[in-house]
Amino acid sequence: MNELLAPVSMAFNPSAVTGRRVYVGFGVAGRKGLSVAVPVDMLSLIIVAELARRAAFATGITFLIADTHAQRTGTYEPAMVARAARRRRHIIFRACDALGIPDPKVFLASQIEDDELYESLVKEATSLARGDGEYFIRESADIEFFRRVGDVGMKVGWTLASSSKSVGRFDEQAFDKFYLEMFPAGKQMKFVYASPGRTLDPTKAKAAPYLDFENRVRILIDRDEDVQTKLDGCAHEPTKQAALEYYAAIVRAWEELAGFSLEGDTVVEKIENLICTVTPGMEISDGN
Amino acid sequence: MATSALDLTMSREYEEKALEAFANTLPRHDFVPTVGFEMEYSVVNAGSTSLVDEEIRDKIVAESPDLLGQELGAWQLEVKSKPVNLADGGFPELSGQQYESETSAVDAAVKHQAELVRLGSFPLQRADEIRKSRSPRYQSVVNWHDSHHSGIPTSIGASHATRPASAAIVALMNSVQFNVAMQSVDDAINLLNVSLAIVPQIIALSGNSRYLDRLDTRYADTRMLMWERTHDTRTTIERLADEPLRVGLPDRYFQDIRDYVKYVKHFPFLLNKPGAAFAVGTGLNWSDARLKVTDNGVILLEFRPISIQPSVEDDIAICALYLGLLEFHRKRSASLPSLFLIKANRFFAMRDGLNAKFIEIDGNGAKRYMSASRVVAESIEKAKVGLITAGFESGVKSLEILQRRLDAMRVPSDEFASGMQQLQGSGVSFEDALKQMVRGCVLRSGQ
Repeated sequence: MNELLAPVSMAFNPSAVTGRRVYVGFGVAGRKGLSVAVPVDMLSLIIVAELARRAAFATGITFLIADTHAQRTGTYEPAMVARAARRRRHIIFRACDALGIPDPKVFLASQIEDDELYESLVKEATSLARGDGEYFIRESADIEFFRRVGDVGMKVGWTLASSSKSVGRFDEQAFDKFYLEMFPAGKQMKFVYASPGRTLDPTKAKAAPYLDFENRVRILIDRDEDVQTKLDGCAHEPTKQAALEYYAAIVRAWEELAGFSLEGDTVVEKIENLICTVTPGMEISDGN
Repeated sequence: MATSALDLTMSREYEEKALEAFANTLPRHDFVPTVGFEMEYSVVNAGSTSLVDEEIRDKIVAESPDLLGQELGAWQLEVKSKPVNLADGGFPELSGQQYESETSAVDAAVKHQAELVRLGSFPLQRADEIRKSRSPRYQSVVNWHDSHHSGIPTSIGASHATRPASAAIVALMNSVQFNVAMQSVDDAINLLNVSLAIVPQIIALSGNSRYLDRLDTRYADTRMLMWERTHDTRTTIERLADEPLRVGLPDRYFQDIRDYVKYVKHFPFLLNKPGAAFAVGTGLNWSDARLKVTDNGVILLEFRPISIQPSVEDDIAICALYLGLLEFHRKRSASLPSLFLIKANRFFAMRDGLNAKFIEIDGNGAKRYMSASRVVAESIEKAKVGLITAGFESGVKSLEILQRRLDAMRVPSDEFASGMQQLQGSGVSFEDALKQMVRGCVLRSGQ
């Protein structure tokens, strides 16, 4: 099993997904606010999705960027939400080109939320949800929408929980369980989880792969990112080593999937080259 | 789907005229097995790598208007060779005809201090600085696709990305297309479907457009991918539902000629040309394979996804593979692989050439990965059988070129990349190496 996969990832029967698509959703906001910046850890989700696609003989990957979900669950400046979404969209397409992912499709939630089917799924989930949060409802409607219209047979998410018995309230496994309760027809879906991202903060070493709320302790996908300096800023050696091992796993999987080596001799150099690979043409970040 | 009154009127006329044209084609007993080529070239000023002005290109075309034609790029031209009866002269005559046509084009260029470049993508021109031919047809079709574009990225590259491009990027892409006479409408539909099914293995063996916008994309063949990305005008829901583009693979194999006509007419017509809807609809269908009807009632199956090869001999070899596979499948009623698999495998072929891994489903529904090289090897063997069965034995020798590619696991884009690496390894800059490699693809008079 690839080291970027969470241990809880269930074994799945590839034949159930053959010819269908893999689905991955990305948020732009969390409980701590909006994240325009994108940690390099986000690439682990794309890598896991591609590993799953190849294992399942699936024919493409569908990505959703939950831009308007953020605006429904928090008060954020629309221009910043749009900027956060654009960055993720850019990175996804570049990563797909680099890894040779066939037929990548990237959608923003704002592009589908006015669709009648989507609206009806939100209504259906709302009526069944009995007070669960808007984000749960929207995420369930997303999965069901793409399952029905977008030929999706597998969902890739990320989890902090090491087993299905230790799932936190806002863990993606909890979202997926909620989805299956709302839409039982989705039981044919397969669920695969990536391991969490890493920070350079020893008090919170694991975090969402695609959200950053303190860029001092995250390696970001940004043209000006100085990876070595950030690592040097971490005085806690075990935390730094764990992060480096995680980045090394990303590099190994990336090189294997892309079919060629990244430039550089060290993990740090290769991560910097990886950042260069996915950032051409991307807007310059100005922090979170 | 008709989106305007122009589409509505043109699509009605197209349907009527297309069905009429296909109903009035030559009877089977008059069938002659002809093949014709269309070859596209970039034109540079003599001794240089600078692309010519449109006036020069037009003067070259005017030297031989029956043979030469304009293309979308102001620096691009097309050579349309006369069809050859394979039952008469076989592949030697086909080869001779292509050499003769190409030589005439080269000689016409020389008269205007210009030269032809035989390469699938012209890599020295910036992707965002394209000069289109001034013909209203090229201007309006490109502008329509740009103004209706879905907004998906129009760059390409595994380690570096080309600049965002418009629909005019086609001006840098050169193909070789084969026009094969069909025995009947049913034969045409059958072999049109076969053509779609065999696209991946033929692309895997023929990549020749790896360098684009002055960089190495690491894609074995960028031509169709760039065409698709810049011509994607689908809405969000259409992309979600995987509605087909007018470029590349259709969404289905065709049941009959009515089904095919229905497919072609559902794309916007763009050009208001009453009385010419059949030609407009046919001309704007940029599927990997399409059907045409000549003025004298011959149905032609046109195969379009191949980048022009390094030489006429290489073009002929790919044509032999294609024709051999058509003949192999002509009288066999084996079911064709699902188009969703063909679509994925076609992408893998464009990405990795002979190193691609194709998805295959066996008769029991079991899935596996099979190396593209193995599929290609099997296809070459099938093509030999097809050519011999059809009486085109002379084509078998042409397949040797492809067998050599397979043995070396190298297609033209790999050779180009090796040349680049050698030059760069000897201290030549990337830009100068690219210029030298492009000069190596220039056709010289008497060559």
